[in-house]
Amino acid sequence: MPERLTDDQLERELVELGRRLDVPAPPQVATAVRRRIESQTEAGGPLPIPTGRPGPSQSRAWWLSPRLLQSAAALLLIFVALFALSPQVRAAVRDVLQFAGIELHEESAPVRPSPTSLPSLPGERTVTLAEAQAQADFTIRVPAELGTPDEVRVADGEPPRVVSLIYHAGPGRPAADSSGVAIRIDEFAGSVTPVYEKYGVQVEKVLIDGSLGIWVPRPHTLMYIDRSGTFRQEAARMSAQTLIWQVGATTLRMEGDFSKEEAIGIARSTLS
Amino acid sequence: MEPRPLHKSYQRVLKCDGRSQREEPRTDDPTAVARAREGDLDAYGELVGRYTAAAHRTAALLGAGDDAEDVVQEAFVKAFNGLPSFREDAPFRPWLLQIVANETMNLHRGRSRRAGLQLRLAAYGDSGRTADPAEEAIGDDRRRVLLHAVRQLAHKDQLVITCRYFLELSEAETAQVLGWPAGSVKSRLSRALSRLRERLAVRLGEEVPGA
Repeated sequence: MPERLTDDQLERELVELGRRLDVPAPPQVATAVRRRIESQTEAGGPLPIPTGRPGPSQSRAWWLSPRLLQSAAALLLIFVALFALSPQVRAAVRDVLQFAGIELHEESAPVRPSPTSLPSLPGERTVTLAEAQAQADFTIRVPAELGTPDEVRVADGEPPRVVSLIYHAGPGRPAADSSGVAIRIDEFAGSVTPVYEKYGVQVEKVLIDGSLGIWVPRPHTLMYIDRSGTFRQEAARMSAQTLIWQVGATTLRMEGDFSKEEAIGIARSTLS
Repeated sequence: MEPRPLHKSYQRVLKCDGRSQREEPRTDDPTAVARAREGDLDAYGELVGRYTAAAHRTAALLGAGDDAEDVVQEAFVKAFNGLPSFREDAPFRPWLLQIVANETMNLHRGRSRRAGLQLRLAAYGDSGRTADPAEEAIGDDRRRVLLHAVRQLAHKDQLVITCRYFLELSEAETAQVLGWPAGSVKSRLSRALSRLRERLAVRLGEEVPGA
């Protein structure tokens, strides 16, 4: 006897079904989790950063020090014990530094960016700054030192995952790349899961008015990971030097042919 | 009837892991999160105890298989490291389950084959909800039919049904855990339910020859 179930009945049956599904008993993980948290801070922090100092002087749980906690969404360097896109990268675990949604790898990229196609983020489209702010669910920061961008793009879905501020060549700006872009700032909501991965990097920790930033001084491979965790091959490209920092919950990745000091100056103008 | 009212009793059923036998007053999530953010590992331990079952269930249903325990551990460590950028007023559970879901899906990243959801009926009827074995038998048969119909659905339909009904997440929580735009959950869910209803009407209306 065919019956048309109402939504209510069907939903109730699905919940009942759910409670009869075969799921193994949950494990006890509290001790293991605690041990891992304790050991990652005791290791002095796996920051592979050449600061020239004799050795890590960080105390236990150094990132919990009062100064870093001052800004509510203080920049966090997240140490990932296991985050890999492939077995090869998994083996280079110690080199991975996950940073507010950007993973930094010392080893070289598993994929070579294609030189023939014009790299772009998935679904990238040009909008006005006002449209971008209306669509994005994070706050877009415009550096006062640069002023209104020449072009604004949003990418990857609705609400867009990434908003890019594009500045063309001009007086007082660094040299433009082959597409006429002098400075590009990609902004996205900082998260534990990566939005970008950078390969072949040596990094420097910098301070922007007391906030932490990461300076990547040389060109490196940039790869974009979409919401489902998939590498987007068409977005892979070489990136110029980059400064990464956070304002509130927004992570900013600023790329251009500038010096570290110039980049820090621009970033400082987003912090007021 | 909205499935949500069943949620609290479901949580009680899940809590039979020995830890919840203590009589100590329960620290609420925002307090535990605030303390854990300051480095209080005991407070974080409370959150771990509170959400291990839900995290494990999420990992298991989304296809973590033998890696489910690793996924859960990893997720709790990542969640702890992510606390400074976690909005204090936001609910902890869907945020944690989002990390679990991502870890589970990342198990298969880079592999060409995408692992499916692990949706299987338990081998025995364990609830003792009804005393009538005949009624229980009818229920079993019906559940088998329903599960079979669910497993015929498109992957994303199964994902949203798993989150909404098997993990008993709200629509907003489902969107967060899956990383989908909020509106897409509602529309995909209603389409998935329609498709299920059609399959069930056909299936239950089938004549069994000779029976």
